[in-house]
Amino acid sequence: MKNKSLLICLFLFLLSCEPDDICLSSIEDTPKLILGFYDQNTGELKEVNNLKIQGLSNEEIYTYQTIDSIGIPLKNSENLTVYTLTKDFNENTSNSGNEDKIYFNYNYNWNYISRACGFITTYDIQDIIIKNDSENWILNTEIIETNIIDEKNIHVKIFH
Amino acid sequence: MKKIYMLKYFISFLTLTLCLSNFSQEKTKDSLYKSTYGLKLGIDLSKQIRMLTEPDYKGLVLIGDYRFSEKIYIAFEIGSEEKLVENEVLNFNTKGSFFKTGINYNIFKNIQDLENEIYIGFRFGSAQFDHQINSFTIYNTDQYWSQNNIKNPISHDNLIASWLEFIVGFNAQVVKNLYMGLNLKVNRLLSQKTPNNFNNLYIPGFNKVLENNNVGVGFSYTIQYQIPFFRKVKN
Repeated sequence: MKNKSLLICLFLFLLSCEPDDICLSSIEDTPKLILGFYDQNTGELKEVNNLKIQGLSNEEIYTYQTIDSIGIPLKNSENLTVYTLTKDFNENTSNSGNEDKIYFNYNYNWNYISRACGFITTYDIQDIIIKNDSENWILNTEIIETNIIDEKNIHVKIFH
Repeated sequence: MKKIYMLKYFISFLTLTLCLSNFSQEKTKDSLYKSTYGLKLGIDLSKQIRMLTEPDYKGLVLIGDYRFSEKIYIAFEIGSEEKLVENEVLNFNTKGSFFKTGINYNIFKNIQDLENEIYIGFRFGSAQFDHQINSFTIYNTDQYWSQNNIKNPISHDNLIASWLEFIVGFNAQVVKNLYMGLNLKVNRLLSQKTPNNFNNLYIPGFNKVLENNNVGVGFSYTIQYQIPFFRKVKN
């Protein structure tokens, strides 16, 4: 009788602990596209003053700061993500600064991770287009890493 | 509708088994006790209980054993299961059939002419199954594009798995030749064909599969009718 109740206890214990139902934060999520801003002449990292980054047709501003590199999210189920990068933006004045529109063309894959984390998206960058306007502050782009599978290095260099 | 149909099936099955048990043999008042050798056939009722409590589960499992010697029974099990697995990030269906075969060893010493069993045993199981992913969530801490829920059916067909089960249980003879029992099992995966870009998270017959180890658990609540073949004097 004692053995039987012990077995039942063991059974309940085995049922209750399911460690793989928790997505650990140590597992990397969908990688962002890492942009690095470089000086056109020296080829060194150079900060962009008061840079505003906003997705096209997205009402929310993704970021607004002075930085030399940043990760931006790409769409999970479309081959194109468009951002506007505004240099010298002043949040008190609308339409201030120099706005450049940048198009990221890519292929995407959904990769299975685990029961608890589900899937992540990885990307394969095809090309990057800067829409021409009267005064582009972005002078050139260069794809360093076409396969976006992690956030360890800069994927795309932006020269200004 | 299906549930009512299944219940009807059980009621008729139970009535049938009860009727059959009326044809029991007369007791021989020997000084020596005899025990029955035969073939037991029945059903794993835990699946039907699960169908009533879990709305997204369907299963039918037929079980049986043949008494090979005084203590050894050759056991087999055949079944089919369908299960919708849903958690915060995944929603998929698993559907398939399985077969198990193995041995039960009766460790219970029956007194007089009682014929109950407490057994330990093992099973070798194998299953063939399909997964259909209905929807999933992209693991992305950034919600800027709010595009993380993907509804895109993906099929993974013709998958196979095999495993070994260790089983502990009992069978009690409630009326002549009608047995009811309960068993617990610990399963260990031996091999599996995993789908490309997914995993076997549920295997029919095996139950839930954990990703960080290959051990699973299960239990059965069984009801079986024994077709008696002959009676043999106990040693």
